[in-house]
Amino acid sequence: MLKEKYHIIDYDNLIEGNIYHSTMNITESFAKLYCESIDFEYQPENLPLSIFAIYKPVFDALGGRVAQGTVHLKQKIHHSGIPCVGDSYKVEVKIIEKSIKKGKNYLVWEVLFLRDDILLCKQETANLWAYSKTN
Amino acid sequence: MIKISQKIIDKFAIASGGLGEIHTDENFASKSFYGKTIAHGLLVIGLIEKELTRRYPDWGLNGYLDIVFIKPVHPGSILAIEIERIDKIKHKIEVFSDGVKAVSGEALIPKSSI
Repeated sequence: MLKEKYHIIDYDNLIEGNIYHSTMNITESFAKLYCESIDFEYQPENLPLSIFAIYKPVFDALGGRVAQGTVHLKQKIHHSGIPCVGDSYKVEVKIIEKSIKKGKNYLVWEVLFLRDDILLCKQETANLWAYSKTN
Repeated sequence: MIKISQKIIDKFAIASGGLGEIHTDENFASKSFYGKTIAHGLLVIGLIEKELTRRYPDWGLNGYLDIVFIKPVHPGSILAIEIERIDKIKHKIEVFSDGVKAVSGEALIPKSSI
């Protein structure tokens, strides 16, 4: 079994409107690992756009991972540039919406990736908290 | 067509930091709502964007993707990614897992990339 390094954050501690920060550095080893994971030809100056669609920078910013069994419902992504090896990004994660519907916790966050203060990727992710944890 | 295996899911988990038990722990997943492990939504997005990049290499200069996950994708399933141009920039995106629609949405591709 693969080992998880993040502890689970508490849904109640996430506050709408709060912004959390982290960084993402695209090293050669990380870029190669990511490209291999989606079977994308590695080109250091032309990396897959979806290298921004990963968990680590979000969990780094939030200070932990979402609850086990949290389900991804929706995703919006706007790209405005091609990532390269050697890039360093400021990452901003903003809690857009928390809601409870029929006893289930929903969470929407927005993630910005800025290179030299220029936005390269903006994402919005909707999750259903701990939905699949038990049947 | 892409066959999703547990090995692919595990590789993506390591690369992305998405080591959630619903993806990587068959024992946990067997007791979950889904009954078995599921591929990451972000893995499916990676595969969709890879296909968009294959068709439109420059779409990432000003491209937009908006999708909804409808059904889980389990290891062993065959994924088919369908991209249909609707108008000058809008494209319909659908992903089928063993013939069942798993993802639906749209992509906006800048005219300069088409």
